Amino acid sequence: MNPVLKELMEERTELPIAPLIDVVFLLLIYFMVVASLRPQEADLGITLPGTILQSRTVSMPDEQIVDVRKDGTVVLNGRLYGESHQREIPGLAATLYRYKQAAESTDSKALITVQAADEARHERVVDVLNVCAGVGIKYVTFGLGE
Amino acid sequence: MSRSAWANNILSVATRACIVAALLAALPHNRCAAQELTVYEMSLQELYRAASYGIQTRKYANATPNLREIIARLPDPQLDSAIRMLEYGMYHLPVCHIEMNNLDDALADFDSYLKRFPKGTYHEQARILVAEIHAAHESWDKVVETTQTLLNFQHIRPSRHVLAAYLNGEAKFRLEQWNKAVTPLIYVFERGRDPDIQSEAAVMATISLLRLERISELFRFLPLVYQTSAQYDIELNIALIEGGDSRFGLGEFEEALLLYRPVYSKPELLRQLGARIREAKRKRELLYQSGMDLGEILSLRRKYTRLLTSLERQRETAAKFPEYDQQLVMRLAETHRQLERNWEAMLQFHSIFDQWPGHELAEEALYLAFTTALDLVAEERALREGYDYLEAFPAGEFYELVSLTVAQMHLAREEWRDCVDIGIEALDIVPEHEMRAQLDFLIGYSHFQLEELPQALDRFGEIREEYPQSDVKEDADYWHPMTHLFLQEYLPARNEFGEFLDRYVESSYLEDASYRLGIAQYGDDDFDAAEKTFQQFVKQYPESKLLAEACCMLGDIYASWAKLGEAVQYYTTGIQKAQNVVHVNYGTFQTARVFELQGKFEEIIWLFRSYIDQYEEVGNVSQALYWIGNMQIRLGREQEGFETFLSGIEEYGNDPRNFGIDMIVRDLIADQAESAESAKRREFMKSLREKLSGSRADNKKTLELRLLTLFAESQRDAIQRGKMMAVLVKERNLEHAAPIALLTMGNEASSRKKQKIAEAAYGKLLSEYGESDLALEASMGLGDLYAIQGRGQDAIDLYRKVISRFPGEPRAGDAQKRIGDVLREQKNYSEAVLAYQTVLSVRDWRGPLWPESLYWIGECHRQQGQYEEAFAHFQRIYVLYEHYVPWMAKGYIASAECMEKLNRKQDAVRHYREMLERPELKDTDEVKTAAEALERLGLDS
Repeated sequence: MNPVLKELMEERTELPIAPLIDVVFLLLIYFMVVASLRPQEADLGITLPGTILQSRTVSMPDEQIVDVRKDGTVVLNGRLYGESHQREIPGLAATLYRYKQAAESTDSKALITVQAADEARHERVVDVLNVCAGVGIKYVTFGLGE
Repeated sequence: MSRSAWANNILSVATRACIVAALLAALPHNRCAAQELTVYEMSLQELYRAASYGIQTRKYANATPNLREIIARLPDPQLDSAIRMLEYGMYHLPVCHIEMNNLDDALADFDSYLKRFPKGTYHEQARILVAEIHAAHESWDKVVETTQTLLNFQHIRPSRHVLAAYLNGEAKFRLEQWNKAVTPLIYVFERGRDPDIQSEAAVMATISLLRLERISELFRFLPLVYQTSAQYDIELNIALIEGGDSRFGLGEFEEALLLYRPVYSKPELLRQLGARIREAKRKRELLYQSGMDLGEILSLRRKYTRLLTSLERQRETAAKFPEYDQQLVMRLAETHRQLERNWEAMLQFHSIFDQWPGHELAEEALYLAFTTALDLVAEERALREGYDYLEAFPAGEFYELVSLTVAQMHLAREEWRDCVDIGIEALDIVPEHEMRAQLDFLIGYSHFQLEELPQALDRFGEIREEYPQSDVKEDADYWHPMTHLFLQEYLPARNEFGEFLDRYVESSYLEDASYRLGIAQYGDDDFDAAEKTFQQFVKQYPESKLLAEACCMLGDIYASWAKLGEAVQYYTTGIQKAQNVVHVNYGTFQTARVFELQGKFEEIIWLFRSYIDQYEEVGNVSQALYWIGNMQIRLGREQEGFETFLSGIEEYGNDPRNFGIDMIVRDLIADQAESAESAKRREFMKSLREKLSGSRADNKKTLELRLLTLFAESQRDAIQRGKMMAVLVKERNLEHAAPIALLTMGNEASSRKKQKIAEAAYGKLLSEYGESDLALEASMGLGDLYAIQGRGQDAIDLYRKVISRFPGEPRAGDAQKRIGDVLREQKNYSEAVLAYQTVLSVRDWRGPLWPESLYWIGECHRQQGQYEEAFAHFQRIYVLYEHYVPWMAKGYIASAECMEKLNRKQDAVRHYREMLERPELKDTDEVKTAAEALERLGLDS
């Protein structure tokens, strides 16, 4: 392993994520490899009260951005999810699960942009990715922190 | 008709008639009865009487045999009476020949007479008639010879002397002996009694003087000429034009003007000739009522007849003469212009177009009127002339030049829209415009000034691509990236500025382009490159007017790097190098923001105290006070802060343009809305009331309205607030109200449905105080008002202006959403959906606008019966926007209703039920709707 990356991981430093997207990307690959996913979040059983299968694709213009703040809180469309000291984010998982269901019914992709603050811990980003993976959202991109 | 032919026509005929008539009038008037005898049977006395009678009765053929017989019978008379009889016969025989038009016989017989009687009784008349016959034959040398002999005699009768001089002068004139002609002709003009002869002599004398270029003599003579009918002679008038032309060609413009000026126009000449003809006819008709004897009447009648013949002929000649009036006015105008009497020149040039718009000179004249107006720097007039030309001569020779010049004038006058309009029109009319590149540049530059940036970009781009050899290529190469810069297209801007700097090392734009490159790099988020560029700029252009701005930009860059100390240093340098108060303001307020980040609140107070001391007259003192008060409050010195605010309001609040005072009032209103009831608040309200009374007493109306706004908005009691607002919302208050008062008036009047006042208040704020921070809110308010009034397009235009002017403000998203609302109200659903989708595409507008926009997209689909698409949007709200409870509630209800419409009652019921199970929705109105729906569907909640 690159010693610099190793040092960073061990220290859990507050590395600014925005200018280091490539580095983060490498880290994520690492976490993807080493971390055990928590698929149980997909088994929450939260289903939509109803869906309509669209006869044609309905494209939604709003981008779903999950903000990861430096204090570990996770925000989607103004709503706070999870506690910073807990790895699991069940509320977010439920919302994203329903999102995925809704997207499937409109024949569109459930797409998430993860946007972490410069000072956010990478581990927390991975938690969000875990949620996405857990609910079966495959399309995840990264945006620059604000 | 040539000059000589024409002149011969007039002079010879008129003169001939006069001379012959004058001489014949001198014949004896004895009456003699006709004899039945033959000439051979008649005595000398009878022959004389018969001849005399024939002559008197104009029966010249009858008189001729008698005269011949007299001559035949007296071959060598000795007695005086016989000699007189012979002389009578020898003189009157050729006279009769003349009357019978036998000029050669007349000439031979006069020759005989003069040989026999060289100093006889009739020798003067005979010589004149001989000269006249030579003149009829155009034998001008012989005319000179004959008349000169006569003029050499000492005691010639004055009237005959004038006739001889006239013939002598005319002959010399015809022989183009101008110098010799002048003296006898002027003599005739001065001494002659016959107006016609006088007039013709004057014409010939004038022409001779012109040919001789004896200009000063001519100018002494002309006034005399213009006291006679000669002034209406067309040849004289044409000669004056030619003389003027000659002087013009020699650069003697004053003299040219003096020659052109008396020339009559052709219509005027014809009018004068007509008047004279009418007068002569009238006098001739009146002769029989005059009481004169028949002889006098016949004599005068002949005179008038001769005159009429002459005048008719002149009129005929003048009528046939080619038009010269336009040329005359053109020459006058050109002469005035040479004399720098440009106003007269311009008016004369324009008069040609006015009077003869179809004449071949009209186009050139109007063009010259335009250029003369330009010389006069009479811009308004020049524009009128220019537009007249462009309208009248779209295919004219000067169209391209005039259209370009007019566009340039509009540009110089900063009339950007007019510049664009005339430029585009010119290119439409002349697609192959010779100066297309220049026009493109002017149009592009005007578009730029009008903030029509895409159009500006197109124009500059066209020059760069289509006219690489044009002299405006360099300008286009600078303004093209400049437009990119203003479009916030920083990457192409920086690339093109870079290319510009490489290519044009000697350009006058070099300094500006260097600075703009830094701005483009900064905009492109390449702060490293921008910093290097600005550093180089500061080094390379230490005296630049942009130096202060460059330093401030460096300050911004270092501030963004959190190198706040360096940032403050650069801002300070910017202030020191400031070219104007705008630079000082920027540097000072940016420094304050850095200090704020550093928590240096005391330093901020000190900074602005110094600023106020130094720039009180020109600086933004009210904004400085706003900062000072806020910093005092943040330092915990609230009372001091409020006092700063209130004293600032009191001191600077009567000037509506002190926008910082409006910010203070706005913040105080917000502060009072949040503050609890306390002694401090009561003290504040009391102080406010006192200052309000004081402003009324001092008749400081603007201040009073600001304080009234603050006082009303600070009221907790709605009734009290309403009463105060009623005092504020008055039409008469509009005149003095500052932006904060106007905005409050607009909002309050809107809510009170007093649309007229609301519109006036918003309108005044936007038109007079558009640079105020409150303009954004006023635009939104006015847009909403237009929407309510059904003026959808006006509302949309206003919202678009907000987006364009405040793109970074959250309210820009609101404006975009409201465009969608207006379009939706207009049932223009497809456009409305596009507008809402725009809201959803901008990350910066995330927040409540997003679920709302999704809801309205769904609603647009629902209104069109597209329930499936509508449902997809409604559902997305309650799935993903749970934070926005009101919209989540609406999303649930709308989703369920779509299900009902699609006959999926169970799904609808599940929606209603899920909704009722969510605790965060229990306080919303939609819960009741859901419960009622379940009941309606046969299921209770």
